[in-house]
Amino acid sequence: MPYSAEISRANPTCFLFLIDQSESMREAIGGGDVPMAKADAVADAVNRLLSELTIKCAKEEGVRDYFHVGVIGYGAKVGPAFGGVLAGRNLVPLSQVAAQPANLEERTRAVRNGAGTVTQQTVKFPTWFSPTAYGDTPMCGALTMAHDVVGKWLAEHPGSFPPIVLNITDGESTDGDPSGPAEALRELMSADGNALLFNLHVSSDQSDPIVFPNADRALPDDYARLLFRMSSVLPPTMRTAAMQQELALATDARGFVFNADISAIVQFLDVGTQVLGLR
Amino acid sequence: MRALTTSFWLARAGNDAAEYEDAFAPQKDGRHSARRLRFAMADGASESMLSGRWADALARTWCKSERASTTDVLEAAMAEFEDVLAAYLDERGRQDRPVQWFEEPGLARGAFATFLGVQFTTRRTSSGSWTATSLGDTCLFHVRDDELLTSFPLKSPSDFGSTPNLVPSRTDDVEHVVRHMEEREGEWRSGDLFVLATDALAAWFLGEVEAGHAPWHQLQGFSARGQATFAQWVSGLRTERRLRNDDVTMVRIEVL
Repeated sequence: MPYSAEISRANPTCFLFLIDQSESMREAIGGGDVPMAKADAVADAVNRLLSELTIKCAKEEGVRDYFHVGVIGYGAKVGPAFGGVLAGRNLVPLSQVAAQPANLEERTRAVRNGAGTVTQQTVKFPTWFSPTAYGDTPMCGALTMAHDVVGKWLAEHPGSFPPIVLNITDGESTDGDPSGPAEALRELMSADGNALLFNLHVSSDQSDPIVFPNADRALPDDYARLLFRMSSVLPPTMRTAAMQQELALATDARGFVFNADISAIVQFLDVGTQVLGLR
Repeated sequence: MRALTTSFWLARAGNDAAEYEDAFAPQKDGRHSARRLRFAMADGASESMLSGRWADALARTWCKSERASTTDVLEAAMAEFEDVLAAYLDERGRQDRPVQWFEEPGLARGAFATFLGVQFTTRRTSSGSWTATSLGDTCLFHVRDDELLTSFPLKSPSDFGSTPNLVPSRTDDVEHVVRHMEEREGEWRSGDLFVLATDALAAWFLGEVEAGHAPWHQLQGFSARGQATFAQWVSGLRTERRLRNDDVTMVRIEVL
C-alpha cells in the first residue's frame, strides 16, 4: 500500500515549504476578526507548522530527525529562506531547526489535557521567519526549485515516505501558469508513492474558510481553483488519521486549505502513537 | 494459582533498548504461586515525553495494589510519576541541560500510556476466576485446549490504529479516565495459557487467528532463555512487513 512507509530516524521524509513573499502579501487577509496582512499570516503558518512538527518529534533525549525540513521563499528572488546559521541550506534535519529559532515569543493558547478538558496556557512560540512582502510572485520558479530539491532528496532516500511540499501563497503567480511545474513536482516519486503537493491559500477574499475540499465548486475565485487543482489528493493513510481526529474527509479530498489553519496536516503523519482525548 | 511466566521484549528497530517504552510487571519470570496473582502491561505513547517511565509506574503500581480500587491505583501511579518527573527535571538542572521550548508542551501535558492489568483469584487448587482491566490496545488472550477463548479488549487486527485510548499521567478528573476503562471476567483452569501483548504483536496474533491459524503455538515455542530467538523471529516478521515496527512485548502465563 502506498504512503505507508515508516517515518523514522533511519528512514526520514522531507517537508519543504514554499513561501510567497511578494508585494501582494502586504494586503489584508480576508475573513477573521482581526485585520492581518497576508505576509503575517504566512509567517505565522510556517512558524506554527515548524513548531508543531518539532514538538511532535520531541523526546527526552532531544528532537528525533524524522523529518528534514526546508523553506524556499519566492518574491524578489527564489531561494532558501532560513535565516541565521541555517541560511542558504535547502534541507535541514529537524533537530537543527529546533535548536535555531530566530526568536522565542510567549503566547497563550488552548491546550487539551488527557481528560479532554481545554485550558489556556502560556507557551513559548518560536519564530524562524519574519513577514516579508517585496517583489513579484515567481511561483513557477519556486516549484521548479522544489523539484530540484525533492529530486535530490529522493535520489538519496528512495524508500522514504514521499516528500511533502507545502506551498503557502495568495496564488497570484507572475511568472506563468504554475500548473505544469506543479504536475512535474507531483510526478516525482519514492518507492512508497508520489511526492505530495499541498497548498495553503492565503487570500484577501472575504469568503468563509475551506479545509480539504474534494471539489472546486465552492471556491471563491480562479486563484483558489487553480491552487485546488494543483493540490494532491490526500493519501488514504492521512485521511484515516484525519478521521481518527474526527475530521471527516471525502475520499478524494485534496491537500488544499483556503484562509484557514493547515497545521492539522502535521497530525495526519504517523510517527507513532498519538495522544488524543479519551473516546 | 500456580503459574509459570515468561516475558519477552524488543525495542522498535532503529531504537536503542533505552528508548523502549513498553512496560510489564512483575518483571521476574518463573514460577509464581499465590491465592491472588496480578500481572500488568502498559505501552507508553511515542508522542509523549517520559512515557516509558509512566508505563512502568502504571504497571508496577497496579501489581502491588491488590485491594485498591482502579481510581486509587491510578492516583498512586500519578503521584509516583510526578516524583519521577521532578527527579528527572532536577537531574537535567544538575547536568546544565535546561528544558527546551519544544519539550515544555509535552512535559506540561504529562505522559500517556495504554494499560492492561489482570488479576487471577484462586477458588480451588486448579481453577478460579480472572478479572482484566484495560484502556487502549494492549491485549489479553486466553487459550484453552488449543482454542482462543477470549481476546480482550480488541478482537480484530482492523481494530488497531495510531490513536488508542491512553491513561494520562496528569488529569483533573481520574474518574473520567476510569469510566473509559473496560473490564472483562473469566474462569481459569489448570493447563490454560494467557498471553499479554502490546499492540504490534497483538495485531499480528489476531491476524493469524483470522487466517485460521493458532499463533499461540509459535509464542509457546520460545524457551525461558529464548530472548535472542524471539528477537530474531520479531525481526523476521518486521522485514516481511507482517509485524508493525514498534516496541514489542509479550508475557506468557502458563497455568500449572
